[in-house]
Amino acid sequence: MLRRALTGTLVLFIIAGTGSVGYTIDNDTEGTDKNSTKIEIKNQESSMEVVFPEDDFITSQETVLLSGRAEKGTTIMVEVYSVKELEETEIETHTLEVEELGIFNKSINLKKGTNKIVIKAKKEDTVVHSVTKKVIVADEEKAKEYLNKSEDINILNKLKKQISGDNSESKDIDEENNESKIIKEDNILNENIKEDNTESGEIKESDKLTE
Amino acid sequence: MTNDRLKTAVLVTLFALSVLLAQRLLVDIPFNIMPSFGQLNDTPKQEYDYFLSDIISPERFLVTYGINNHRILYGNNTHNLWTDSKVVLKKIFNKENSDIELIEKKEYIQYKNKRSIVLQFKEQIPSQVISKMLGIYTPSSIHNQIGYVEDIYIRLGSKGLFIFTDGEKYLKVENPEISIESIAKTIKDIENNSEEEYVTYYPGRTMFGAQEDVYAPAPNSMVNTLPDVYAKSGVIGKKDKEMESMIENFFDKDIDYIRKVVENNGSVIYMYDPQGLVISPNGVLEYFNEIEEPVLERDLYESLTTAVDFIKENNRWPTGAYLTDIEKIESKGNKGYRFNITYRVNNKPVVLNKNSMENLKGLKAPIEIEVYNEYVKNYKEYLRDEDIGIYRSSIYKTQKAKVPEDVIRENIDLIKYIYAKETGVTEKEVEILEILSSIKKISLAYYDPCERTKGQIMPGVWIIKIGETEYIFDIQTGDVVNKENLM
Repeated sequence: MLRRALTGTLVLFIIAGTGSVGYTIDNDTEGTDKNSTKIEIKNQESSMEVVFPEDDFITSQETVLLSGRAEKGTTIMVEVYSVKELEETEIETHTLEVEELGIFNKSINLKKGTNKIVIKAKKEDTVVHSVTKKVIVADEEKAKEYLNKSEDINILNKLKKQISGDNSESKDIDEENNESKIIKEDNILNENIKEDNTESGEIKESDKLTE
Repeated sequence: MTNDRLKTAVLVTLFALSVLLAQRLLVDIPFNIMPSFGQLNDTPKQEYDYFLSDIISPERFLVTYGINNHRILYGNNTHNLWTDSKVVLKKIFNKENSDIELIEKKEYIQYKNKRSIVLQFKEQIPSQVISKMLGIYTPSSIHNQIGYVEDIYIRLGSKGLFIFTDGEKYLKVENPEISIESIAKTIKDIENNSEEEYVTYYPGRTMFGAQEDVYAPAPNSMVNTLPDVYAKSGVIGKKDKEMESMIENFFDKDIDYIRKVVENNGSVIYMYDPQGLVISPNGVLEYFNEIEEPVLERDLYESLTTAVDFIKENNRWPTGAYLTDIEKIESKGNKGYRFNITYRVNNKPVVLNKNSMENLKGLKAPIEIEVYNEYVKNYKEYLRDEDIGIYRSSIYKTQKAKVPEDVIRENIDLIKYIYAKETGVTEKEVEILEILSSIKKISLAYYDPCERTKGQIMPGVWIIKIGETEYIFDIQTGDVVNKENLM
């Protein structure tokens, strides 16, 4: 009886610790479009679309392309933060003007570890749309570790589903877009894009890897 | 008695052998009974192939480090990438135990997101010519599956994975026995190099929604590494001695035997029947000769080696020359090829002003040669030497270069107007995102306006094909310096 209780507690502990972790892999994923999850709070209809990076993008480079579409005349404000142990340090900010082409592209500098990119679309001094993306900069070997760990997480998620059945948290999760969607759900449920509320599990993971 | 005869026979044999061997050292016997050491070593052929592999070389190398993280390296052998690639390709053409399968374009694009290098040729090259250039003369299973090659993909993973494509067929060849360590190391070194020329390129699919596989840097990310160069004619203004030597080379005769005619328009004609050489006042050089025997069957490899040999013998090789176009031609029942060859300045290809084609006797590229197997019928060139080392702006290296997004934005009205005409709609109906999605080509080059024989500015340019029109934009000013409808 005691052994069962202990095993049960252990399984629950693992599930609780990994339930909100999501991964996308840079070099060895099979395509770019399958993990097109975005943490987006749409205040107005499609005033801005961020094409890249996808959320939870992992790269070994300390620069990443920020690419998107917006209406001519929109001002795009970009804030880049390095996130370490729940503290955010601003790395850089950019202001981009969307001109005739209706696109914006900017090479963004990042720091090792977790980075948060906040992209705001502004029209007539009013922020009309805001999107937050998380990008993790890991060296190559660590990116490979992520890949291996993400496979483990897949197994754990399957286990979690088997144990808890079709629980409320995973009801709306598209099975094809597994872990990343969990983050999206969490964020939407909480109506909060702050990383310290929703992504602590992942920050811990990345901190472990960058140690 | 028998012994004496035997001894005599041995002596006679030894004597004959010694005479034959001595001719290699001392006497020039006019008939070849035995091949010379030179022929056995095949030295001239090796030299031949060296030059051939120079002109059949990739225009550029697309290096991929991961999703949306690419670099494009220009130059025929930058970082020895072509030399290293040739070693690997020779192995893959030689191995018969490779796994070969045709794959879909979609799968190929997915592979292009992985750490890899793609050798991008300007023109589709017959796969047999590539292997012959590498010294492989027996057809392999790769040749049977793909006749022409435009791109060669090399995966920088642990096992040897290659994809040969002509743009329509994608042939995946796998052989874990083939090591690509040397190339992988070079690519790693380039990744760690933060010098200005190593600009990160991103897929046009992400940046513009382009449907084709094109790459461009992000705005403000590119320092101008393409300073304007001043050029002068490679022929006009040469010293008399140099000219004489050049003409003697073409005719393989002393200048005294060659007839010279100066025409009213300033052209100078040199004749030694049936050969002729014309030097136009704008710097176009044209040589012509007759085909001695009918050529009823064309041989690409033979024609190509004849062309290379001809240009080499006449010392007409510009730096970084490479093949840009192959065209089948016929003349009075004879079958041959027309080869276009260009050269590089600062590792970038040189393109000619296409509006000047008429003045340049129809030249599409700096060198054009018509060959019928072993016969060169026509050779034309418009080559340049660097004039003086001055630049339009001495601060070019600190300036940011304009990137494709900048030059398209600055010229969007013109582009919109032309796109509307091409698609048969009004300008108001044209969506800019539709224009951007029709970007088909983005590349860097130097542009020769072909207007002056000296002091000619050759600007660095972006060549961008949108819809059916190819635009040439000045990389510094963003101006359209040329455009051509390719329909």
